[in-house]
Amino acid sequence: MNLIRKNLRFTLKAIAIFSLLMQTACVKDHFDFDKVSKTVDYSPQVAAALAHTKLTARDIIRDYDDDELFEETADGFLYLMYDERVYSVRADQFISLPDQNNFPTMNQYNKTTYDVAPVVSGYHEFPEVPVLYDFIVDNNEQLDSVVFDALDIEITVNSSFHVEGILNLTFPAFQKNGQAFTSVVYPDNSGNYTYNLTTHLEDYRLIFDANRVLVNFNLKLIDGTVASGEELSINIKMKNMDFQSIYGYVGQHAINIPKDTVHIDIFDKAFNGQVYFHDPSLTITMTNFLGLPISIAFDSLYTYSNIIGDFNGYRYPGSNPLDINRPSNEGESANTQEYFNVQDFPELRQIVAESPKYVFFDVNGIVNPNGYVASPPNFVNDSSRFNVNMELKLPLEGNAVYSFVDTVALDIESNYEDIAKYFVEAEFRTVFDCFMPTNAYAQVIFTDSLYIPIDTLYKTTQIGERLINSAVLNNEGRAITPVRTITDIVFGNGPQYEHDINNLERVKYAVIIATVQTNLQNQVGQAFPLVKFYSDNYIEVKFGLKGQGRYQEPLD
Amino acid sequence: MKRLIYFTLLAIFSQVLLAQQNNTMYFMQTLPQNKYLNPSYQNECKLHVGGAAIPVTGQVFFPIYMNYGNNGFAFKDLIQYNGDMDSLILPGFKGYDWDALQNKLREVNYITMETHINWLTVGYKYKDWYFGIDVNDKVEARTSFNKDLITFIHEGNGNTFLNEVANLGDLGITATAYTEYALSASKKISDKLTVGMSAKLLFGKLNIWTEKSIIDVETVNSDNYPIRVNADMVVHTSQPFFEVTDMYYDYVGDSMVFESESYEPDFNAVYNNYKNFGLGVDLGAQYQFNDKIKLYASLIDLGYIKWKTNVQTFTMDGEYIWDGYNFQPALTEDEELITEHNDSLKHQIISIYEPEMQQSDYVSHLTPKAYLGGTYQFNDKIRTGLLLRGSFFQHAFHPSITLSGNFRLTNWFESTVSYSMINNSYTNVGIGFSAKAKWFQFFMMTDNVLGFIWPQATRNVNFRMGINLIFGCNKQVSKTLIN
Repeated sequence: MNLIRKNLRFTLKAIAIFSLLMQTACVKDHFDFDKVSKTVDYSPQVAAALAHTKLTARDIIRDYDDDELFEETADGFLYLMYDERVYSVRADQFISLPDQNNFPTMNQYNKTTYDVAPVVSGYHEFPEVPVLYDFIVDNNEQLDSVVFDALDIEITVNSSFHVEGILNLTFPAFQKNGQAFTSVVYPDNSGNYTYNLTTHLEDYRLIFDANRVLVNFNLKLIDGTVASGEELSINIKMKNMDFQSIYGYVGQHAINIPKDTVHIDIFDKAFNGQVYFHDPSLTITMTNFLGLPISIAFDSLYTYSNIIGDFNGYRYPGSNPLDINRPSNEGESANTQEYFNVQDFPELRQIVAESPKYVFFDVNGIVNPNGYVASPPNFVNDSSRFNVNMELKLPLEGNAVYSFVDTVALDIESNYEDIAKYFVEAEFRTVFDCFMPTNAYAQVIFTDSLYIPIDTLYKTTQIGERLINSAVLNNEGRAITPVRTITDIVFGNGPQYEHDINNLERVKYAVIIATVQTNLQNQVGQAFPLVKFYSDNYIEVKFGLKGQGRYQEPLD
Repeated sequence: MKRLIYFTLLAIFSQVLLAQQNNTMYFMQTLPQNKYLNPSYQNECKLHVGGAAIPVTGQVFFPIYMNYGNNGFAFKDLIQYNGDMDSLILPGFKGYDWDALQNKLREVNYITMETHINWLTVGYKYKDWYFGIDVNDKVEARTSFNKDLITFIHEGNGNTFLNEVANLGDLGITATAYTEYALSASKKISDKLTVGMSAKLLFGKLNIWTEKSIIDVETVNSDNYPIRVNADMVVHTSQPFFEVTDMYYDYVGDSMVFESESYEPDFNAVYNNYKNFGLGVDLGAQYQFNDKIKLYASLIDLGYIKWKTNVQTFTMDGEYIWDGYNFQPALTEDEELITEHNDSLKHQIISIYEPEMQQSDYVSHLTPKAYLGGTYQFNDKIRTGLLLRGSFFQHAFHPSITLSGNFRLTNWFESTVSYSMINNSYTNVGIGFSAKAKWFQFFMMTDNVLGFIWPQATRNVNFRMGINLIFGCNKQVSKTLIN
């Protein structure tokens, strides 16, 4: 037992000594956690894609406009179409029917005119009196018939008869569903009878007799006759006439066409440059739903360009004045089209080259320019319109040097302290995979609140510094191989960097100036004046960031 | 005496995370415990009994085996002492030498920890046979990570890993606690050949197993730094502490949500859980080549456990390329479209990896080890040995070599000194001894005694101790010595 105890003591002591060796200074330093460093110092380098998208020509243009601007041919060749309705007028905006307040008073019911009235079954019945009233018009209209949406007929009857009667008024040519409009009045025997009634009518057709309206009057007296000096008179008025359609001749009316514009918004932000479209065209389409002849006189064609900063006027290249076709039948329309290309309107290239933001005409029109023509008669409907559309067609074949500028508000100041503290270096990368026949240059100028430049990025004025390099083109100017361009901008924390983050504290604005230039060389370096855009063209835009941050702070 | 024992145990346990595979024990012929490394071993004594279950001895000299291994770095490589600053520097703190750490790291770095408690060991020799019964509790844990992970943390993805794949996989934890009941038998087939086998019933208690861990991250430099992340992971758990009841992406909170319930574990129930059943086997052989040379081979810990209680399996598989936010919808200025696009993006990122959770049984395997060695007997008292060891885990073979000198200067004391090349570490000097008095045999050993002296510099430390009651061996030992 002593032996065991001896060995055990020896062994335990040996182990304890080994363990205590740890407590030597050398070992102790490695395990003295009171000496743990408390200042974090961490400087990772991080690289990550930030954003990307793939933009076709359609996407790029839609960025400026919600309209469907593009059309393409079967092989995908793109046209830019600006189609704008510059004028539209409805018939009831220039044709109206005046109130008929001056129909003469019908006052033939007295003893002088009808002294001996026939007696029928105890009634003294006057003979039917037909009266034709002249329908007064303002513009020499020759009306055959009018269908009214609505009108009011006002009938006033005054009677000094001392006998009761029954008065029937019939408008035989004023019908609805084959029934003529009639009105019955019952004069009393008071000797001072007055009757006034306004009837609102809808959907009646009035057939004119050479601009006259026929009314038949029938009067019966009950158990008595008329004394000398007594009279019954009738007044009729037609008011508030709202026509549905008019047939006949509606007279001459001026159409006041206000200046309206075609907004070419791809040029909104243009400030410099020239765009050459090889084969632009302009089409003016006038659509006439009115069954009457119209003549249009174009004064001038005007454009407004941001680049020029002014209006430019051009002569109208087509027939002037222009007679507009009219439809043959009601419910139809007739088009009159004026098409201009660079052959018959050479200035068109110049107009487009000015990057016009607006295109518009000065136009006057007149209906029935030759006055009354018996045949064919006019017909107008209250919803019939006369429309003028202007369509600018820009086939995307040509060349361009085109610049635009934009200003974006920035506020780095609020985050500046953190950026300067934790930021060592950051490389901002742009990647453009271009399958378009265009190169692009750009500058981004950071300015202070007074637009004084602080730093400038992308000084891409040299060919080798393009932000976007055109796709390789074939001999027809079509992109065949995409080209990638990578541009890195390095921001650093210190004056040794070209772009020192410390300078950016005062930045309030970023002014972006970009120039797009069509490729002027094909794949073998030959000069290449014209490029073409197709629907399969795209630019894939990617942004990435590689940065080194530094966190160096004591822990609490 | 008690204070000494207490102090000693405290000192040992405070260093217990610095140990290795106990290769030193392999050629200690007087120890019955070496049958754990080669079941063909036959102890010289007729009978031995040991383990924590044995009254008094089992508690005084608690039979335990602890092991720590790190194939990459030592403590001082991770937490560095800077003499000029007189400071301990943690990673990411001022003065830290990342290069020093990275130079030490292996491609895939493993940290392994094992603890075996021997509750009972019995051996009995009958003619050419040697029978054994053993009960052990074993806890084995291993965590691993790729060197790229440290580089990635240190540098970010914007330096070394531009246009290079950062392998952040190999990341995982595998930990198993189980009880092993072993019945072993060894037989001398001939004068030269002895073979043995140990059949084991295994009862799993706790497990977490990272079956698959592939995480590749690649940042492309020739573009706008798009990042490709490929992940393929399978993790199994069988534990009573918590249960993930649901797993989904919260679009409002913009995060992955794991709903779980925690449980107050009943350790008695855990320990007495016999539902996770497994089988294992150890195989071994010895061959007396000639009078001087003896050859050894063994294959241990072949086996599996089928986990059935509190099981959950988490899987994720997919590849996502982040090439930046697609801002095309933003150009439309259509708020509804933009919102829909953003929601779709979040959903896409999550759904592409198809995270899933299942509650189904699974099978995990033990970590098999192979030993191949030989001894050269200089004389009755001195032998030298060479041992090649390899373990298999995470689809790789992990070898080590140990040279040993075994000294049996008296019939009551055997000692050994070893030198090992383990886990790419070449400063492993092991010592061990067994001392016998009457029926008591006390033993203690380590593969790397330097780890106790310079723990900050060591990558491998292990320790084994215990006491056996041995009977019927004095005569035989004397005979051997006389021979």
